[in-house]
Amino acid sequence: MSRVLLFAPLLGACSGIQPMPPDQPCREAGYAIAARTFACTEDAELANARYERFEADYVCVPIDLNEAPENPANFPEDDYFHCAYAIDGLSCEEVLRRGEDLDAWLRASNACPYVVQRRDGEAYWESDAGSDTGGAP
Amino acid sequence: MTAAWLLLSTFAWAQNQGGFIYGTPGTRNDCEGNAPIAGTAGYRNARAAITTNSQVFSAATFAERELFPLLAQAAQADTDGRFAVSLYEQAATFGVTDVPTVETSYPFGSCPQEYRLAMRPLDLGAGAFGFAGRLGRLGYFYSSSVAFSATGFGGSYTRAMMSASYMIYLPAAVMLAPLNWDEDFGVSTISSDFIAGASYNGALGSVYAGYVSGRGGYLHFGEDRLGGFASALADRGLDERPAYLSAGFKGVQTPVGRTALYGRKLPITAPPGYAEQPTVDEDGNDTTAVLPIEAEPPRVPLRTVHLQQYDLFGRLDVLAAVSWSPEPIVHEAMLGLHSPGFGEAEAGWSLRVGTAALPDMYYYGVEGGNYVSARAEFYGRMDDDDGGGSTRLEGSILYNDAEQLSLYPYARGALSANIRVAGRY
Repeated sequence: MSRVLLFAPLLGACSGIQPMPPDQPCREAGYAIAARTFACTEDAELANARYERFEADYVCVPIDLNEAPENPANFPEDDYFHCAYAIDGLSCEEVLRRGEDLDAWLRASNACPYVVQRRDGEAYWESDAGSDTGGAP
Repeated sequence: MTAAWLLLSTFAWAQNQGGFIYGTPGTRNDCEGNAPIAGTAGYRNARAAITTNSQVFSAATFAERELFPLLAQAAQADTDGRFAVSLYEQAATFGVTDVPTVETSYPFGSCPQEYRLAMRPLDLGAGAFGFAGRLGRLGYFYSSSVAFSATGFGGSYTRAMMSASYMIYLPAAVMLAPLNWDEDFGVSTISSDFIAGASYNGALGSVYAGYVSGRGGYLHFGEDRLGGFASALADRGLDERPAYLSAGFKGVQTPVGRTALYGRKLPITAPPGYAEQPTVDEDGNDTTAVLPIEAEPPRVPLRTVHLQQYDLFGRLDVLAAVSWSPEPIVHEAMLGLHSPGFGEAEAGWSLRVGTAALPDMYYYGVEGGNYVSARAEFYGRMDDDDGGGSTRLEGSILYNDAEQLSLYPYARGALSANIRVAGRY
Protein backbone atom coordinates (compact mmCIF):
# COMPACT_ATOMS: atom_id res chain seq x y z
CA MET A 1 0.00 0.00 0.00
CA SER A 2 1.50 3.32 -1.01
CA ARG A 3 1.87 5.85 1.77
CA VAL A 4 2.50 9.22 0.26
CA LEU A 5 2.32 12.79 1.34
CA LEU A 6 -0.47 14.31 -0.64
CA PHE A 7 -0.24 17.85 -1.94
CA ALA A 8 -2.11 16.94 -5.09
CA PRO A 9 -5.57 16.82 -3.51
CA LEU A 10 -5.40 20.57 -2.98
CA LEU A 11 -6.17 20.75 -6.67
CA GLY A 12 -9.19 18.58 -5.98
CA ALA A 13 -10.48 20.97 -3.34
CA CYS A 14 -10.23 23.92 -5.70
CA SER A 15 -10.97 22.35 -9.05
CA GLY A 16 -14.35 21.70 -10.55
CA ILE A 17 -15.74 18.44 -11.85
CA GLN A 18 -13.42 15.86 -13.36
CA PRO A 19 -14.08 13.12 -15.93
CA MET A 20 -14.84 9.81 -14.26
CA PRO A 21 -12.00 7.24 -14.26
CA PRO A 22 -12.93 4.28 -16.52
CA ASP A 23 -12.55 1.79 -13.65
CA GLN A 24 -14.74 3.74 -11.22
CA PRO A 25 -17.85 1.48 -11.49
CA CYS A 26 -15.65 -1.54 -10.72
CA ARG A 27 -13.99 0.04 -7.69
CA GLU A 28 -17.39 1.13 -6.47
CA ALA A 29 -18.40 -2.53 -6.34
CA GLY A 30 -15.44 -3.23 -4.04
CA TYR A 31 -16.20 -0.20 -1.89
CA ALA A 32 -19.80 -1.35 -1.60
CA ILE A 33 -18.66 -4.78 -0.35
CA ALA A 34 -16.52 -3.07 2.30
CA ALA A 35 -19.27 -0.64 3.28
CA ARG A 36 -21.94 -3.31 3.68
CA THR A 37 -19.51 -5.48 5.64
CA PHE A 38 -18.82 -2.61 8.04
CA ALA A 39 -22.48 -1.69 8.40
CA CYS A 40 -23.60 -5.26 9.08
CA THR A 41 -20.70 -6.58 11.18
CA GLU A 42 -19.42 -3.37 12.84
CA ASP A 43 -15.95 -4.71 11.96
CA ALA A 44 -13.93 -2.08 10.09
CA GLU A 45 -10.87 -4.34 9.77
CA LEU A 46 -12.92 -7.11 8.15
CA ALA A 47 -14.40 -4.54 5.77
CA ASN A 48 -10.94 -3.40 4.68
CA ALA A 49 -9.70 -6.98 4.38
CA ARG A 50 -12.55 -7.88 2.03
CA TYR A 51 -11.76 -4.91 -0.20
CA GLU A 52 -8.10 -5.90 -0.33
CA ARG A 53 -9.15 -9.42 -1.36
CA PHE A 54 -11.39 -7.88 -4.01
CA GLU A 55 -8.40 -5.97 -5.39
CA ALA A 56 -6.19 -9.06 -5.29
CA ASP A 57 -8.59 -11.59 -6.80
CA TYR A 58 -10.45 -9.49 -9.36
CA VAL A 59 -9.55 -7.17 -12.22
CA CYS A 60 -11.48 -4.12 -13.37
CA VAL A 61 -12.95 -3.88 -16.86
CA PRO A 62 -12.57 -0.23 -17.97
CA ILE A 63 -15.84 1.20 -19.20
CA ASP A 64 -16.23 3.18 -22.39
CA LEU A 65 -17.44 6.55 -21.18
CA ASN A 66 -18.97 7.22 -24.61
CA GLU A 67 -21.32 4.29 -24.13
CA ALA A 68 -22.84 5.34 -20.85
CA PRO A 69 -26.51 4.40 -20.60
CA GLU A 70 -29.04 7.02 -21.53
CA ASN A 71 -30.88 7.23 -18.24
CA PRO A 72 -28.90 5.72 -15.38
CA ALA A 73 -31.23 7.35 -12.87
CA ASN A 74 -33.52 4.37 -13.39
CA PHE A 75 -30.71 1.88 -12.73
CA PRO A 76 -31.44 -0.68 -15.46
CA GLU A 77 -29.61 -3.94 -14.82
CA ASP A 78 -27.23 -3.36 -17.72
CA ASP A 79 -26.08 -0.10 -16.18
CA TYR A 80 -22.40 0.04 -15.26
CA PHE A 81 -23.26 1.16 -11.73
CA HIS A 82 -25.97 -1.40 -11.10
CA CYS A 83 -23.33 -3.76 -9.71
CA ALA A 84 -22.35 -1.39 -6.88
CA TYR A 85 -25.94 -0.29 -6.42
CA ALA A 86 -27.20 -3.87 -6.01
CA ILE A 87 -24.42 -4.76 -3.54
CA ASP A 88 -25.08 -1.56 -1.59
CA GLY A 89 -28.72 -2.56 -1.30
CA LEU A 90 -28.08 -6.02 0.20
CA SER A 91 -29.75 -6.61 3.52
CA CYS A 92 -27.59 -7.63 6.48
CA GLU A 93 -29.03 -11.12 6.26
CA GLU A 94 -27.81 -11.36 2.65
CA VAL A 95 -24.46 -9.86 3.62
CA LEU A 96 -23.86 -12.41 6.37
CA ARG A 97 -24.90 -15.26 4.07
CA ARG A 98 -22.34 -14.21 1.43
CA GLY A 99 -19.58 -13.76 4.00
CA GLU A 100 -16.13 -14.36 2.46
CA ASP A 101 -17.53 -15.61 -0.87
CA LEU A 102 -16.82 -12.56 -3.02
CA ASP A 103 -18.17 -14.34 -6.11
CA ALA A 104 -21.51 -14.49 -4.34
CA TRP A 105 -21.34 -10.76 -3.59
CA LEU A 106 -20.77 -10.05 -7.29
CA ARG A 107 -23.72 -12.20 -8.27
CA ALA A 108 -25.98 -9.56 -6.72
CA SER A 109 -26.34 -8.01 -10.17
CA ASN A 110 -26.14 -9.20 -13.75
CA ALA A 111 -24.21 -5.98 -14.44
CA CYS A 112 -21.15 -6.98 -12.40
CA PRO A 113 -19.45 -8.94 -15.22
CA TYR A 114 -19.52 -5.76 -17.34
CA VAL A 115 -17.17 -4.01 -14.92
CA VAL A 116 -15.30 -6.66 -12.91
CA GLN A 117 -13.83 -10.09 -13.78
CA ARG A 118 -11.98 -12.69 -11.77
CA ARG A 119 -8.23 -12.32 -12.14
CA ASP A 120 -7.89 -16.07 -12.85
CA GLY A 121 -10.29 -15.78 -15.77
CA GLU A 122 -12.99 -17.96 -14.24
CA ALA A 123 -16.55 -16.76 -14.74
CA TYR A 124 -18.04 -16.20 -11.31
CA TRP A 125 -21.63 -16.16 -12.53
CA GLU A 126 -21.67 -19.52 -14.38
CA SER A 127 -21.35 -21.78 -11.38
CA ASP A 128 -24.10 -20.07 -9.46
CA ALA A 129 -27.29 -22.05 -9.60
CA GLY A 130 -29.03 -20.18 -6.81
CA SER A 131 -27.96 -16.62 -7.38
CA ASP A 132 -30.19 -13.64 -6.74
CA THR A 133 -30.48 -12.52 -10.31
CA GLY A 134 -29.56 -15.43 -12.48
CA GLY A 135 -27.06 -15.91 -15.26
CA ALA A 136 -24.47 -13.96 -17.15
CA PRO A 137 -25.27 -11.01 -19.42
CA MET B 1 -37.10 38.15 -48.14
CA THR B 2 -34.66 39.83 -45.78
CA ALA B 3 -36.33 38.17 -42.79
CA ALA B 4 -36.07 34.75 -44.43
CA TRP B 5 -32.40 35.35 -45.16
CA LEU B 6 -31.73 36.38 -41.57
CA LEU B 7 -33.54 33.25 -40.31
CA LEU B 8 -31.51 31.02 -42.61
CA SER B 9 -28.33 32.79 -41.51
CA THR B 10 -29.22 32.17 -37.87
CA PHE B 11 -29.71 28.46 -38.48
CA ALA B 12 -26.45 28.37 -40.43
CA TRP B 13 -24.66 30.02 -37.50
CA ALA B 14 -26.23 27.54 -35.09
CA GLN B 15 -25.12 24.68 -37.30
CA ASN B 16 -21.56 25.99 -37.26
CA GLN B 17 -21.61 26.45 -33.50
CA GLY B 18 -22.98 23.12 -32.51
CA GLY B 19 -25.02 21.59 -35.25
CA PHE B 20 -28.20 21.66 -33.17
CA ILE B 21 -29.95 24.66 -31.73
CA TYR B 22 -30.55 22.87 -28.39
CA GLY B 23 -27.05 21.45 -28.32
CA THR B 24 -24.95 24.58 -28.43
CA PRO B 25 -21.38 23.88 -27.38
CA GLY B 26 -20.42 24.59 -23.81
CA THR B 27 -17.84 23.97 -21.14
CA ARG B 28 -17.96 21.97 -17.92
CA ASN B 29 -19.71 25.01 -16.39
CA ASP B 30 -22.73 23.93 -18.41
CA CYS B 31 -22.92 20.48 -16.78
CA GLU B 32 -25.64 21.59 -14.41
CA GLY B 33 -28.20 18.86 -15.03
CA ASN B 34 -26.34 16.28 -13.00
CA ALA B 35 -27.67 13.58 -10.70
CA PRO B 36 -25.64 11.79 -8.00
CA ILE B 37 -25.30 8.02 -8.47
CA ALA B 38 -26.60 6.04 -5.51
CA GLY B 39 -24.73 2.93 -4.44
CA THR B 40 -21.34 4.64 -4.75
CA ALA B 41 -18.93 5.53 -1.95
CA GLY B 42 -19.11 9.19 -2.93
CA TYR B 43 -22.89 9.19 -2.54
CA ARG B 44 -22.69 7.50 0.87
CA ASN B 45 -19.91 9.87 1.96
CA ALA B 46 -21.90 12.85 0.80
CA ARG B 47 -24.92 11.80 2.82
CA ALA B 48 -22.71 11.22 5.88
CA ALA B 49 -20.95 14.58 5.41
CA ILE B 50 -24.28 16.35 5.23
CA THR B 51 -25.32 14.76 8.54
CA THR B 52 -22.00 15.57 10.20
CA ASN B 53 -22.04 19.15 8.93
CA SER B 54 -25.48 19.70 10.36
CA GLN B 55 -24.35 18.20 13.69
CA VAL B 56 -21.03 20.05 13.99
CA PHE B 57 -22.59 23.35 13.05
CA SER B 58 -25.78 22.67 14.90
CA ALA B 59 -26.92 25.29 17.32
CA ALA B 60 -26.01 23.11 20.33
CA THR B 61 -22.48 22.32 19.19
CA PHE B 62 -21.92 25.92 18.22
CA ALA B 63 -22.98 27.03 21.68
CA GLU B 64 -20.61 24.58 23.38
CA ARG B 65 -17.68 25.19 21.06
CA GLU B 66 -17.86 28.97 20.77
CA LEU B 67 -20.56 30.66 22.81
CA PHE B 68 -19.96 29.19 26.28
CA PRO B 69 -16.16 29.71 26.21
CA LEU B 70 -16.79 33.29 25.11
CA LEU B 71 -19.15 33.75 28.02
CA ALA B 72 -16.56 32.31 30.41
CA GLN B 73 -13.96 34.76 29.09
CA ALA B 74 -16.38 37.63 29.56
CA ALA B 75 -17.01 36.51 33.14
CA GLN B 76 -13.32 36.93 33.95
CA ALA B 77 -13.33 40.50 32.63
CA ASP B 78 -16.64 41.44 34.24
CA THR B 79 -16.95 43.48 37.45
CA ASP B 80 -20.67 43.78 38.22
CA GLY B 81 -22.01 40.31 37.29
CA ARG B 82 -24.19 41.59 34.41
CA PHE B 83 -22.83 41.10 30.94
CA ALA B 84 -23.63 39.57 27.55
CA VAL B 85 -21.86 38.22 24.50
CA SER B 86 -22.87 37.62 20.89
CA LEU B 87 -21.22 35.66 18.12
CA TYR B 88 -21.64 35.00 14.41
CA GLU B 89 -19.76 32.32 12.47
CA GLN B 90 -19.61 31.23 8.83
CA ALA B 91 -17.78 28.17 7.56
CA ALA B 92 -17.29 26.36 4.29
CA THR B 93 -15.53 23.13 3.38
CA PHE B 94 -14.71 22.59 -0.26
CA GLY B 95 -14.28 19.16 -1.78
CA VAL B 96 -15.24 17.06 1.25
CA THR B 97 -15.81 14.09 -1.08
CA ASP B 98 -16.14 13.38 -4.80
CA VAL B 99 -19.59 12.26 -5.86
CA PRO B 100 -20.00 10.20 -9.05
CA THR B 101 -22.65 11.96 -11.13
CA VAL B 102 -24.34 11.55 -14.47
CA GLU B 103 -25.42 14.43 -16.67
CA THR B 104 -29.10 13.69 -17.19
CA SER B 105 -29.74 16.66 -19.47
CA TYR B 106 -27.77 15.04 -22.33
CA PRO B 107 -28.16 15.38 -25.31
CA PHE B 108 -30.07 18.63 -24.92
CA GLY B 109 -27.51 20.39 -22.78
CA SER B 110 -24.16 21.87 -23.58
CA CYS B 111 -22.21 19.64 -21.22
CA PRO B 112 -19.15 18.19 -23.03
CA GLN B 113 -19.27 14.42 -23.54
CA GLU B 114 -16.22 13.76 -21.33
CA TYR B 115 -18.07 15.17 -18.32
CA ARG B 116 -21.26 13.20 -18.86
CA LEU B 117 -20.07 10.73 -16.25
CA ALA B 118 -18.04 12.77 -13.80
CA MET B 119 -16.61 13.04 -10.31
CA ARG B 120 -18.14 16.11 -8.75
CA PRO B 121 -16.79 17.64 -5.50
CA LEU B 122 -19.24 18.22 -2.68
CA ASP B 123 -19.05 21.55 -0.85
CA LEU B 124 -20.43 22.14 2.63
CA GLY B 125 -21.48 25.44 4.14
CA ALA B 126 -22.79 26.58 7.50
CA GLY B 127 -23.62 29.66 9.47
CA ALA B 128 -24.47 30.12 13.14
CA PHE B 129 -25.45 32.98 15.41
CA GLY B 130 -25.78 33.10 19.17
CA PHE B 131 -25.99 35.29 22.23
CA ALA B 132 -25.71 34.63 25.94
CA GLY B 133 -25.62 36.62 29.12
CA ARG B 134 -25.59 36.52 32.90
CA LEU B 135 -27.56 38.35 35.50
CA GLY B 136 -25.73 37.36 38.63
CA ARG B 137 -25.83 33.59 39.17
CA LEU B 138 -28.49 33.04 36.53
CA GLY B 139 -28.04 33.33 32.81
CA TYR B 140 -29.58 32.70 29.41
CA PHE B 141 -28.40 31.54 26.01
CA TYR B 142 -29.70 31.15 22.49
CA SER B 143 -28.21 30.16 19.18
CA SER B 144 -29.47 29.25 15.71
CA SER B 145 -27.72 27.69 12.76
CA VAL B 146 -28.08 26.69 9.12
CA ALA B 147 -26.05 23.96 7.41
CA PHE B 148 -26.20 23.16 3.73
CA SER B 149 -24.45 21.27 0.95
CA ALA B 150 -24.20 21.32 -2.82
CA THR B 151 -22.14 19.68 -5.52
CA GLY B 152 -19.83 22.32 -6.89
CA PHE B 153 -20.34 24.11 -10.14
CA GLY B 154 -18.37 22.71 -13.04
CA GLY B 155 -15.51 25.18 -13.37
CA SER B 156 -13.14 26.35 -10.64
CA TYR B 157 -13.87 30.07 -11.00
CA THR B 158 -17.63 29.59 -11.21
CA ARG B 159 -17.52 27.40 -8.13
CA ALA B 160 -15.52 29.98 -6.15
CA MET B 161 -17.71 32.89 -7.19
CA MET B 162 -20.97 31.09 -6.48
CA SER B 163 -19.66 30.03 -3.06
CA ALA B 164 -18.77 33.64 -2.29
CA SER B 165 -22.21 34.84 -3.33
CA TYR B 166 -24.22 32.45 -1.17
CA MET B 167 -22.10 33.36 1.84
CA ILE B 168 -23.39 36.92 1.47
CA TYR B 169 -27.02 36.05 2.13
CA LEU B 170 -26.27 33.33 4.69
CA PRO B 171 -26.65 35.66 7.74
CA ALA B 172 -30.30 36.26 6.86
CA ALA B 173 -30.90 32.52 6.62
CA VAL B 174 -29.31 31.97 10.05
CA MET B 175 -31.61 34.54 11.65
CA LEU B 176 -34.61 32.71 10.18
CA ALA B 177 -33.38 29.27 11.24
CA PRO B 178 -36.07 28.73 13.92
CA LEU B 179 -38.60 28.49 11.08
CA ASN B 180 -37.07 25.06 10.37
CA TRP B 181 -37.24 25.29 6.59
CA ASP B 182 -35.32 22.10 5.94
CA GLU B 183 -34.94 20.53 2.51
CA ASP B 184 -33.24 17.29 1.65
CA PHE B 185 -32.67 16.36 -2.00
CA GLY B 186 -29.97 13.80 -2.76
CA VAL B 187 -26.71 15.55 -1.98
CA SER B 188 -28.10 19.10 -2.09
CA THR B 189 -29.58 19.81 1.31
CA ILE B 190 -30.26 22.49 3.86
CA SER B 191 -31.04 22.06 7.55
CA SER B 192 -31.65 24.51 10.35
CA ASP B 193 -32.12 24.38 14.10
CA PHE B 194 -31.87 26.39 17.29
CA ILE B 195 -31.20 25.92 21.00
CA ALA B 196 -32.44 28.01 23.87
CA GLY B 197 -31.92 27.59 27.57
CA ALA B 198 -30.79 28.86 30.93
CA SER B 199 -27.58 28.63 32.89
CA TYR B 200 -26.51 28.67 36.51
CA ASN B 201 -23.08 29.89 37.48
CA GLY B 202 -21.90 28.29 40.72
CA ALA B 203 -18.66 28.12 42.64
CA LEU B 204 -17.31 25.17 40.61
CA GLY B 205 -18.44 26.34 37.20
CA SER B 206 -21.48 26.80 35.01
CA VAL B 207 -24.30 24.44 34.16
CA TYR B 208 -26.18 24.99 30.90
CA ALA B 209 -29.52 23.27 30.31
CA GLY B 210 -31.42 23.73 27.10
CA TYR B 211 -33.66 22.31 24.43
CA VAL B 212 -32.50 21.66 20.88
CA SER B 213 -35.25 21.99 18.31
CA GLY B 214 -36.32 18.60 17.01
CA ARG B 215 -33.59 16.66 18.82
CA GLY B 216 -34.08 16.73 22.56
CA GLY B 217 -32.44 17.88 25.74
CA TYR B 218 -28.95 19.23 26.18
CA LEU B 219 -26.77 19.51 29.27
CA HIS B 220 -23.31 21.03 29.57
CA PHE B 221 -20.95 21.75 32.45
CA GLY B 222 -18.07 24.17 32.11
CA GLU B 223 -15.33 24.86 34.65
CA ASP B 224 -14.38 28.44 33.91
CA ARG B 225 -11.03 28.99 35.62
CA LEU B 226 -8.97 26.02 34.37
CA GLY B 227 -10.89 25.43 31.19
CA GLY B 228 -12.11 21.99 32.22
CA PHE B 229 -15.22 20.74 30.52
CA ALA B 230 -17.51 17.78 30.05
CA SER B 231 -20.44 17.58 27.76
CA ALA B 232 -22.88 15.21 26.18
CA LEU B 233 -25.32 15.61 23.36
CA ALA B 234 -28.18 13.18 23.25
CA ASP B 235 -28.73 13.21 19.51
CA ARG B 236 -30.61 9.92 19.46
CA GLY B 237 -32.59 10.54 22.57
CA LEU B 238 -31.56 10.79 26.17
CA ASP B 239 -31.70 7.02 26.71
CA GLU B 240 -28.84 6.24 24.27
CA ARG B 241 -25.10 6.65 24.67
CA PRO B 242 -23.88 10.09 23.62
CA ALA B 243 -22.39 10.36 20.15
CA TYR B 244 -19.69 12.80 21.17
CA LEU B 245 -17.75 12.84 24.41
CA SER B 246 -14.75 14.86 25.46
CA ALA B 247 -13.12 15.74 28.72
CA GLY B 248 -9.91 17.39 29.88
CA PHE B 249 -8.25 20.77 30.27
CA LYS B 250 -7.83 23.08 27.33
CA GLY B 251 -5.72 25.88 28.73
CA VAL B 252 -3.60 25.57 31.86
CA GLN B 253 -0.83 28.15 32.29
CA THR B 254 2.47 26.36 32.90
CA PRO B 255 6.08 27.61 33.22
CA VAL B 256 6.67 26.87 29.53
CA GLY B 257 3.49 28.42 28.20
CA ARG B 258 -0.07 27.19 27.95
CA THR B 259 -0.73 23.47 28.05
CA ALA B 260 -3.79 21.54 26.94
CA LEU B 261 -4.45 17.88 27.67
CA TYR B 262 -7.71 16.22 26.79
CA GLY B 263 -9.30 13.05 25.48
CA ARG B 264 -12.01 12.81 22.91
CA LYS B 265 -14.34 10.23 21.43
CA LEU B 266 -15.66 10.92 17.98
CA PRO B 267 -17.95 8.48 16.22
CA ILE B 268 -16.95 7.00 12.86
CA THR B 269 -20.27 6.00 11.44
CA ALA B 270 -20.57 2.98 9.17
CA PRO B 271 -22.04 4.09 5.86
CA PRO B 272 -25.56 2.69 5.50
CA GLY B 273 -26.55 0.91 2.33
CA TYR B 274 -29.06 2.54 0.01
CA ALA B 275 -31.84 0.71 -1.81
CA GLU B 276 -35.05 1.52 -3.59
CA GLN B 277 -37.82 1.29 -1.05
CA PRO B 278 -41.45 1.47 -2.10
CA THR B 279 -43.52 3.87 -0.05
CA VAL B 280 -46.94 5.41 -0.45
CA ASP B 281 -47.99 8.80 0.87
CA GLU B 282 -51.24 9.64 2.67
CA ASP B 283 -53.06 10.17 -0.63
CA GLY B 284 -52.01 6.78 -1.98
CA ASN B 285 -49.44 8.20 -4.38
CA ASP B 286 -46.32 6.15 -5.09
CA THR B 287 -43.37 7.84 -3.37
CA THR B 288 -40.79 5.10 -3.97
CA ALA B 289 -37.31 6.45 -3.37
CA VAL B 290 -33.70 5.38 -2.77
CA LEU B 291 -33.40 5.46 1.01
CA PRO B 292 -30.93 4.20 3.66
CA ILE B 293 -31.38 0.57 4.67
CA GLU B 294 -30.18 1.22 8.21
CA ALA B 295 -31.86 4.15 9.89
CA GLU B 296 -29.19 4.19 12.58
CA PRO B 297 -25.99 2.59 11.26
CA PRO B 298 -23.40 1.38 13.79
CA ARG B 299 -20.66 3.65 15.03
CA VAL B 300 -17.05 2.81 15.76
CA PRO B 301 -15.49 5.29 18.16
CA LEU B 302 -12.30 7.13 17.19
CA ARG B 303 -10.65 7.76 20.55
CA THR B 304 -7.87 10.30 20.70
CA VAL B 305 -5.67 11.89 23.35
CA HIS B 306 -4.40 15.41 22.65
CA LEU B 307 -1.34 17.08 24.17
CA GLN B 308 -0.83 20.63 23.05
CA GLN B 309 1.86 23.02 24.17
CA TYR B 310 1.43 26.62 23.14
CA ASP B 311 3.75 29.63 23.47
CA LEU B 312 7.11 27.86 23.69
CA PHE B 313 9.67 30.70 23.68
CA GLY B 314 6.70 32.96 23.18
CA ARG B 315 6.35 32.02 19.49
CA LEU B 316 6.17 28.25 18.97
CA ASP B 317 3.33 25.73 19.30
CA VAL B 318 3.73 21.95 19.33
CA LEU B 319 0.63 19.81 18.97
CA ALA B 320 0.32 16.06 19.03
CA ALA B 321 -2.57 13.66 19.13
CA VAL B 322 -2.59 9.89 19.30
CA SER B 323 -5.52 7.63 18.57
CA TRP B 324 -5.71 4.18 20.15
CA SER B 325 -9.00 3.07 18.68
CA PRO B 326 -9.73 1.74 16.07
CA GLU B 327 -5.92 1.33 15.84
CA PRO B 328 -2.91 3.05 17.41
CA ILE B 329 -1.62 5.62 14.94
CA VAL B 330 -0.13 9.07 15.21
CA HIS B 331 -3.18 11.10 14.53
CA GLU B 332 -1.63 14.54 14.38
CA ALA B 333 1.82 16.11 14.64
CA MET B 334 2.11 19.82 13.98
CA LEU B 335 4.63 22.59 14.48
CA GLY B 336 3.42 26.16 14.58
CA LEU B 337 4.67 29.71 14.63
CA HIS B 338 2.62 32.66 15.78
CA SER B 339 2.93 36.39 16.22
CA PRO B 340 4.18 37.68 19.60
CA GLY B 341 1.46 37.72 22.22
CA PHE B 342 -0.88 35.71 20.02
CA GLY B 343 -4.27 35.70 21.67
CA GLU B 344 -3.45 38.59 23.99
CA ALA B 345 -2.33 41.29 21.56
CA GLU B 346 -4.90 43.34 19.63
CA ALA B 347 -4.12 41.47 16.42
CA GLY B 348 -2.23 38.32 15.57
CA TRP B 349 -1.62 35.44 13.24
CA SER B 350 -0.65 31.81 13.51
CA LEU B 351 0.57 29.25 10.99
CA ARG B 352 0.91 25.50 11.62
CA VAL B 353 2.21 22.81 9.31
CA GLY B 354 2.45 19.09 9.97
CA THR B 355 0.98 15.73 9.15
CA ALA B 356 -2.24 13.94 9.90
CA ALA B 357 -2.59 10.19 9.61
CA LEU B 358 -5.65 8.05 9.09
CA PRO B 359 -6.05 4.31 8.51
CA ASP B 360 -7.33 2.71 5.32
CA MET B 361 -11.05 3.17 5.05
CA TYR B 362 -12.17 1.34 1.93
CA TYR B 363 -15.71 1.40 3.24
CA TYR B 364 -15.49 5.13 2.56
CA GLY B 365 -13.70 4.55 -0.74
CA VAL B 366 -10.42 6.05 0.50
CA GLU B 367 -6.91 4.83 1.27
CA GLY B 368 -5.13 5.71 4.46
CA GLY B 369 -1.76 7.38 4.77
CA ASN B 370 0.05 10.45 5.95
CA TYR B 371 -1.34 13.71 4.70
CA VAL B 372 0.25 17.12 4.67
CA SER B 373 -1.71 19.32 7.00
CA ALA B 374 -1.79 23.09 7.36
CA ARG B 375 -3.71 25.62 9.37
CA ALA B 376 -3.59 29.42 9.22
CA GLU B 377 -5.39 31.69 11.66
CA PHE B 378 -5.71 35.43 12.14
CA TYR B 379 -7.63 37.78 14.42
CA GLY B 380 -8.10 41.41 15.28
CA ARG B 381 -9.74 42.97 18.35
CA MET B 382 -11.10 46.40 19.18
CA ASP B 383 -11.73 47.31 22.82
CA ASP B 384 -14.12 50.03 23.95
CA ASP B 385 -12.43 53.07 25.45
CA ASP B 386 -14.12 52.50 28.79
CA GLY B 387 -13.08 48.84 28.84
CA GLY B 388 -16.65 47.66 29.11
CA GLY B 389 -16.81 45.74 25.86
CA SER B 390 -14.90 44.56 22.83
CA THR B 391 -15.38 43.24 19.30
CA ARG B 392 -13.23 40.51 17.81
CA LEU B 393 -12.89 39.31 14.22
CA GLU B 394 -11.11 36.05 13.50
CA GLY B 395 -10.71 33.63 10.66
CA SER B 396 -8.98 30.42 9.71
CA ILE B 397 -8.09 28.34 6.67
CA LEU B 398 -7.58 24.60 7.14
CA TYR B 399 -6.11 22.04 4.76
CA ASN B 400 -6.19 18.36 5.73
CA ASP B 401 -6.43 19.55 9.29
CA ALA B 402 -6.85 16.80 11.90
CA GLU B 403 -10.10 18.37 13.04
CA GLN B 404 -11.49 18.13 9.50
CA LEU B 405 -10.29 14.55 9.04
CA SER B 406 -11.78 13.47 12.34
CA LEU B 407 -15.16 14.80 11.31
CA TYR B 408 -14.97 13.86 7.64
CA PRO B 409 -12.55 10.89 7.55
CA TYR B 410 -13.17 10.40 3.81
CA ALA B 411 -12.14 14.01 3.08
CA ARG B 412 -8.70 14.02 1.50
CA GLY B 413 -7.53 17.40 0.29
CA ALA B 414 -10.52 19.28 1.62
CA LEU B 415 -10.10 23.00 2.19
CA SER B 416 -12.05 24.77 4.91
CA ALA B 417 -12.50 28.47 5.52
CA ASN B 418 -14.04 29.92 8.64
CA ILE B 419 -14.76 33.43 9.89
CA ARG B 420 -16.18 34.61 13.24
CA VAL B 421 -17.27 37.93 14.67
CA ALA B 422 -17.69 38.12 18.45
CA GLY B 423 -18.85 40.92 20.72
CA ARG B 424 -18.78 41.43 24.49
CA TYR B 425 -20.98 43.99 26.15
